[in-house]
Amino acid sequence: MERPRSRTDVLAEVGTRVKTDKSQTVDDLLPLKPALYLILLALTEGDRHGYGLKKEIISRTDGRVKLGAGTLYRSIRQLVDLGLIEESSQRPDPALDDERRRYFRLTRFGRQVALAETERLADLVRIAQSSRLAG
Amino acid sequence: MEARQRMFRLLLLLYPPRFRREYGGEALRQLEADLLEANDSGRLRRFIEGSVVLLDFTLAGVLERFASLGSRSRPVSSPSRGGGLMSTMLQDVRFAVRGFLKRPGFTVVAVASLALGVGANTAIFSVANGVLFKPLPYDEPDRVVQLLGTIRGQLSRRHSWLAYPEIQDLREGTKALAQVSAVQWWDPILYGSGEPARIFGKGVSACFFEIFGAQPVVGRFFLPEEEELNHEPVVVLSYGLWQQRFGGDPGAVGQTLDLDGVRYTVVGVVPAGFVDPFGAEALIWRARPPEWDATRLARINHSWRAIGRLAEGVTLEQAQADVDRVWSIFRREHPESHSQDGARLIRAKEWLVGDVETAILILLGSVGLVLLIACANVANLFLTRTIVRGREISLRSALGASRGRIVRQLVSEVCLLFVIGGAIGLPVAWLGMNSLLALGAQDLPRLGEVGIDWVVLGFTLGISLLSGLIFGLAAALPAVRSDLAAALQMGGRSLLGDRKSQRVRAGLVVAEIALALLLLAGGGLLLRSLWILQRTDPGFQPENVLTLRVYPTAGSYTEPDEITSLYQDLTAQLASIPGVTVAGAINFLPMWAGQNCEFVWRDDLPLPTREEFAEYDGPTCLEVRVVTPDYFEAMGISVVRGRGFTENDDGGAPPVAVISAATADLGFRGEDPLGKRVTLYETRDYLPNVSRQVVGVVSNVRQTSLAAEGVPAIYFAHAQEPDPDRRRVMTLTMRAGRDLTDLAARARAAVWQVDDNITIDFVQPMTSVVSNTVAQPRFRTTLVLIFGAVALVLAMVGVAGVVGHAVSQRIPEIGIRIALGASDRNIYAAVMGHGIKLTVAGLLLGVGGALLSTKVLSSLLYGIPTNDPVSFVAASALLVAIALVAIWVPARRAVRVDPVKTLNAE
Repeated sequence: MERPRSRTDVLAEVGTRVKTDKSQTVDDLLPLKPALYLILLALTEGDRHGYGLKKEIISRTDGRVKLGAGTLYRSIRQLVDLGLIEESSQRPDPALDDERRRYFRLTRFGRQVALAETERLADLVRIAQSSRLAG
Repeated sequence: MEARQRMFRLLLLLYPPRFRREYGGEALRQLEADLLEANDSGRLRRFIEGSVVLLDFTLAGVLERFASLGSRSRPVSSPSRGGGLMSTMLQDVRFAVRGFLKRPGFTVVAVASLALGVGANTAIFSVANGVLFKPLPYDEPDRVVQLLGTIRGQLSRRHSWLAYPEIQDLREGTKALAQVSAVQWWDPILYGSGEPARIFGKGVSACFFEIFGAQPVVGRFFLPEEEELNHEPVVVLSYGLWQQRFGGDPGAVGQTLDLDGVRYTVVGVVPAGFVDPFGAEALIWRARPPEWDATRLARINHSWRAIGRLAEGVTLEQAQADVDRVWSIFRREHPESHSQDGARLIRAKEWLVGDVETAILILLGSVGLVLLIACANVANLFLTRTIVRGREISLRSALGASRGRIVRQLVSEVCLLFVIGGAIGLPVAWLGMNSLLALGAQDLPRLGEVGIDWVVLGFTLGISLLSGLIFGLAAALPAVRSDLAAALQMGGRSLLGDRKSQRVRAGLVVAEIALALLLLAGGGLLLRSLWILQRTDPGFQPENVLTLRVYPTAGSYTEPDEITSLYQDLTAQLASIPGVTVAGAINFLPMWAGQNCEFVWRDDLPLPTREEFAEYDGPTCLEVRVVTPDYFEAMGISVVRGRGFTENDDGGAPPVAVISAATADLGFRGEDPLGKRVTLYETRDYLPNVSRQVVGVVSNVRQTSLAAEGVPAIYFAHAQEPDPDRRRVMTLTMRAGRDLTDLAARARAAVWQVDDNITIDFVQPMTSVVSNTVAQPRFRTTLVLIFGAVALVLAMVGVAGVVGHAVSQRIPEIGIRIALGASDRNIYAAVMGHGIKLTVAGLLLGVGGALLSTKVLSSLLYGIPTNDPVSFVAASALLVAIALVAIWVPARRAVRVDPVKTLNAE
């Protein structure tokens, strides 16, 4: 009997698929892991570097989500490999900038995935609201 | 800081190279920032947040590495690359990784228990390495030796001090010692910018720093002429004090410091890593002060420590013989002073860490047992898995894989697991080490040397791989040895390796239980000993007593009467604070720094002759304490007979003394001490020998620690004491009617109201003074108990695993039994019996082992023998109770078996 796919399996695959299968669709990537989703959301406002992403997510979630350095850069690596985000060549005012830092921005595909995930979640919420739970 | 960076870099190695290239630097900076952020919060929060951040970083690394391995692996290795050892190894590793990912539950349990075991071992090892194993940071450290005084050939810390003339004569008389330095504690008040502060320091001979082969950072150390009497006052600063006072300015050399009202010229600074063998807190050293005048100091004034350096090529034994030879000359020339004493040489390191050596080694042993149990558990898990995988193994074997190849595959799986466990164990170790240092190891010597360095990392890698290999082989062999063909036929379900591996697994579980009981029994003994210790009556009532030490400004209160009235004013002022019932003062607070043992003899008995004194085996001296009238009441020391001191016992009244019950027993056996006269024979020629009348007896006080019996003591009235050294710096003690919150601030204010130039330090409740003396026992007891608990949990996971596996193997049989009408009780009995047998076997083995091995604890126990039945019974009962639960949980599954289903399946 096939065991249900665990999160670890999914992670391993998400990490590898891009190399083996270039022609993936938005749906292949859903549901998106919360960390990945939050990073995509944080990038909708503009380009950010790693630390900026962390701070943006903390402020958006009122401090409930703090990504550790490991998870943060692992997620960034996955998103870059999946083609959802890319390194940005734009830099803010050099005076304000630490040149060792790398900035990231959302790709078009990334924006589509984020949108699709948002819709998927919204659907779930609608279903929940029509049940007795939210009443 | 450096060790920390090194560890982070090592953690980064967990990540695949591509990740390190692209994100490594930034991720590391982010990690630093995360940890820095956690630093802003409280201690517990910081610990938790720091752990989360580090574990996140480690886990992400492992996952990332798995992802990259998984991406490159193909189910079938390409034939062109097959054959090479490296490639089969890689193949093994990839195969193992895929296996682990498929069974996350198994992987998490195994990795977590290994990480815990390896992490705890590394943490304790890092302490042992820093404190015990590393050589002292001196030039040829084995040549640095302490010279300790002995009495009747015996060494005891209390009587190990030497007299200054002895040290000087040893320096001149011995050939085997290249240098000998006298050392005396000196904590002057440093005046200057800001509030006057007391600093820890030492007075030393001019050759002191040569003994260690140390080189100054700036300036120089002491010159030979600074060994002469009446040289200019000069000091050498510690690196820390130099940074703090002079901001590390080399121009500090040549400047002067006001210490106790004397201007000392700074001549040099010691390097940052210098370790003073008499305690790391030393901040300043002065060259031989003028008071050290051998011609004026008695040979029985034992108030100095001595340290020396062996001459080139001389062994410790040769040097000891040389010292004994010089001492025999002392005995000839000064028979009155040297009837019973001698000197012993011991290496500086032994003296420095001797006290904690046993405790650290025991902790290292205990934590080693925890790792053994963790390993046994993993081996057990593996064995179960190997059995389940029997079909796969048989198939591979049938398809032509050699046994060696299969064993290698299995062993490399185990090794990989251990290496991952070790890698995750490293941050666990780092956190563990820091919390060890933060939570209770303040009293450890050489604390600055504890850290994670290459030796510690090597140790971690070593134990991970070694235990992986040993336990991996143990787990792999039974599976391969068993009858493969049969296994293939049986579908790998029941018979494969069951008999043999069942026996191995039962053996492992019995061993786990035995080891866990060993640790529990040890923890129980330490706990009971600590409990008894904490309930020991110290001879006073520390509750609601606040103490503070006061230092009158140098140069003030020079007349004896001025000091007397200063302390009268201070105690009166403190007693007038609302809530304070009574206040007193003493020169050396019990269980705090300081001792002063002096020769006191009854006036109605003739002084002992030399021969009589040599035969005399009672206490050779009494602890002398100087107190104000209300001290006994403030501390809750009860007056057993006669009276305590009153305001009338002043300088004009006849001198009186109060003795402790122990002194009364030893000096006045069967007689009434009240009214008898005693004289203290001073060792300093400027002090008179005062005869005093005994007016009272007070209860015994444990002067040095809770564990040390009360030493015989004698108390003098502060107003009558002629020695300024015994009455100038005092500790004030006040008893409050309620708890002590906010009393400290009021007490300071009250002192400064009397004289705002007085320096105050060591403001502390008496309860914490007492509890400090049991800090070390409490610390090691806590650790052993934690290890015991972890061991218990791991062993119980092992028992539950074995029983659970047996249940799942026996489901068809149980089904039939139920179908034939067996009751729940029958089923429980059938299933649990196996587990109970294992527990009892482990218990018996453990108790036997514990009886043999708890002897090593004997020096750490107080008030109980090493085979204390209460501790043993309690440990066994706890283990049995928890084992029953661990057996019952999987057994419950057996009674829920549906007979119809299982029979159908057959």
